[in-house]
Amino acid sequence: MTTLPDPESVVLRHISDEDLLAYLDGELSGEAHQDAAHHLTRCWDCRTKLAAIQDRIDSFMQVRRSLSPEALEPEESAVAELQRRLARHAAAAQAETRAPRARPWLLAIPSRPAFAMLTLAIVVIVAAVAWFNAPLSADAVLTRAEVEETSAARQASAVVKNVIQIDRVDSTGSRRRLSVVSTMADNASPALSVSIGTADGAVEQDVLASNAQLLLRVTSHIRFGQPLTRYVVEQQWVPGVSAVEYRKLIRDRGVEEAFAERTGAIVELRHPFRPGHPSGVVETRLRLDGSSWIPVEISIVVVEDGARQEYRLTRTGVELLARTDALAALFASAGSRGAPPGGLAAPPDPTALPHKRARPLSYDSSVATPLEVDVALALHKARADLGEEINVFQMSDGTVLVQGVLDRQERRRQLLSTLHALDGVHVELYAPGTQTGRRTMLFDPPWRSSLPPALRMPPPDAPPIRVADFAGATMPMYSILREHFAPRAVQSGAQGSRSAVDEAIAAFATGVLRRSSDMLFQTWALRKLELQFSERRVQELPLSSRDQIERLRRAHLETLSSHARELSALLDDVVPQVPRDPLQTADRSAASLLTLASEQHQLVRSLFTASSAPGEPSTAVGRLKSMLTQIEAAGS
Amino acid sequence: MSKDSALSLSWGSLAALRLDGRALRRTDQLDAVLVEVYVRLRPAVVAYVYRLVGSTRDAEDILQTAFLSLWDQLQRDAEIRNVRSWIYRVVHNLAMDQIRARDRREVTEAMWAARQDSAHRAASQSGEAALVLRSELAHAMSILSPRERECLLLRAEGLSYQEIADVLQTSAKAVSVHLTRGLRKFAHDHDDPA
Repeated sequence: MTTLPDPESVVLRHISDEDLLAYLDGELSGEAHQDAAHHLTRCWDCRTKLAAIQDRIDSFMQVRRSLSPEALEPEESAVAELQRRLARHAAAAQAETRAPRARPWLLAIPSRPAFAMLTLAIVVIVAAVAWFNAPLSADAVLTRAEVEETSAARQASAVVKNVIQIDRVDSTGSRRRLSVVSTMADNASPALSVSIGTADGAVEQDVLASNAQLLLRVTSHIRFGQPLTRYVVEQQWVPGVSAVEYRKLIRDRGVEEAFAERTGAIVELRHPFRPGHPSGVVETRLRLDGSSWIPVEISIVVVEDGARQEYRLTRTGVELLARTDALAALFASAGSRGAPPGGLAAPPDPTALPHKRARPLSYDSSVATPLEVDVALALHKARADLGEEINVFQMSDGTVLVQGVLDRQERRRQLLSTLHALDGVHVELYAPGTQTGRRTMLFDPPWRSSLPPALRMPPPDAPPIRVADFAGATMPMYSILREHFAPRAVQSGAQGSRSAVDEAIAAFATGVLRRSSDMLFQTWALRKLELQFSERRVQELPLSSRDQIERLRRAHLETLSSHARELSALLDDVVPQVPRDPLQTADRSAASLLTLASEQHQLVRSLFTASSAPGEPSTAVGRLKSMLTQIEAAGS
Repeated sequence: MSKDSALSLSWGSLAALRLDGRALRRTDQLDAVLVEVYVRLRPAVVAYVYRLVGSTRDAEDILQTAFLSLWDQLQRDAEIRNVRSWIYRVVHNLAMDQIRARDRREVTEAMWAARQDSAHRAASQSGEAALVLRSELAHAMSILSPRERECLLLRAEGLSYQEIADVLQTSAKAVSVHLTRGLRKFAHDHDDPA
């Protein structure tokens, strides 16, 4: 009798909001559900609350409904797309297991993108899609980033604050925040102010005498596996999102292959490690901003305890702080504590110029010299005026500086020996593996201010194509080309097999693309000549030098014109029925030729490379044909 | 396990659909089954991802990428016990990656600007914070914390608390708390006195 609970007290123990919702959601266990149901029959308050929760759910669902996507693509086309992607994905996976070393070959890019296209043999269309979009060499990109980084570090006179987030990502893609490391560094001191936040929310702050100590701090928090820890310590890697530090990670990886890929604005470099590398590392990745070459993320993919893990370091914030007394004191105290004697002898002279040497003059403030013409000729002979990143500066002391970033050491040596013979020319060429000293500084191109922003980057700009797109995308010209090549493959005894036709298509597209990008390079060279040797700048040049410039110009125009002619012929062969658009009056200035060539190139890329938004190709072909006629006319 | 268990496409219990890579591969039905699962899941999942990333195209792309991963897993003879929550988990992670990438670009732009003019500029944003939906209606959603929004959206897809917990790598208890809290805020914004 007395053991029974007081019925009133049962009624009065109201149900929590969580349980009410769980009740509605059917998430309460059998017994709890019955108890709740029983209580609800007797408790007005809880019934009211339950109804309120139901109302909130309804209004949430209403908002959710109004946030629905616009009409989806029809199911059939989505399924067809998925099937295409699956097929390509399967083919790629199979190719990878069959020939694991085939991929570097496909993606390794020789010194110039245009010639990369030429030297690559013809492979199935899946592979073709991959290399069309890879006019980037991983090594050159990394070198570029290192050079930018060293020069940026020297320019920054303030205190730089970096926030790096470190996550561990497992094979399903779920990530666990391990730590957030925020560092403050001052150019005037080797010391580093650090705050390390751990996963459980604690924050540890300290001032380290040098950034070499950072690794120990960080690894004590995030606990890499032992082999990885040993490796990064050996490499003297300083954790952070930096190209120079990234280079240390990949120095002893035991293989040469490297991949570069552009995904929208981001360029990703991948560096696989030798299988069974003692560190357990499978590969490392560096993601950079494709226009500023600033690293944004580093990944270390490693097998630890048999499971694949990825340590991902992401730059989540960066600030330049003014060097206040309080901040300076922070670093000074570290110096007195731990820096090597003399390390902080005197603060640097803030008025000292970063470069004691001569400064580059802009085209507006200088005139051309015969030496500049000689350099232009030498570069032209070495084909170094076609899309490679090489700039020629007239310096304030009368010398000429040739500065550039190249894809390969071999190419660097070749150009060094070419330019060696010229007196009064300083040459600064960087290639992967070149030591970038403390004085390294890349100057902005002398023509920079006179070009519209969209054309600042000379190499053909890859459209944003993602890895995933390779598998699913189609080439808009594919069906037209198939129709053209299939009957021919039958005639030649290849029985029209799918792969034979695809090979023919890939070969054709390669030829088209190669000419198209070379046209862009030629007009780019023309435009640079026009800027460098403008009417005003050449006035005082001897006649022979001016003659040489004119010959250079003619050479580019002729190549341009012959490419346009060949490309027209190729197109006429495949799509003779498409008429040319009516001709517009041709403006023959280098600037408008460049615009034309770059439009032409974009059109070619959109037609002949994988595109995720295929359109109706024939109108584009008509436009392309008429552009080619205009370009051809300009050169003749 | 019976021979048919791998193909038990009993759609009444979509939630519990289990796929066995080895069996599917043996019977050569992998692609066909994947396509069927895709067709069933697509409308709901695309809508879900759309609500996170704000673009149908991206949502479709993310879903297909998830199916390529599913193919990879099954090809390696993995057994996926609850395909629906597996897919939600992968698309969720892909969507978050995309949102973070967007953020990173903003950060880099800021750094670029800082480098250019040496003026100090800050740009620090956590990945989660960017989960701010873009349309006007999104305002209603924007009062929710990212976690609350994710929980509510997944619940609205019909996932159980445990499935939501699996997708978000948290506990069912935490899901219950987020849901309740989210709904409460939602009510306040809609002049519900409760």
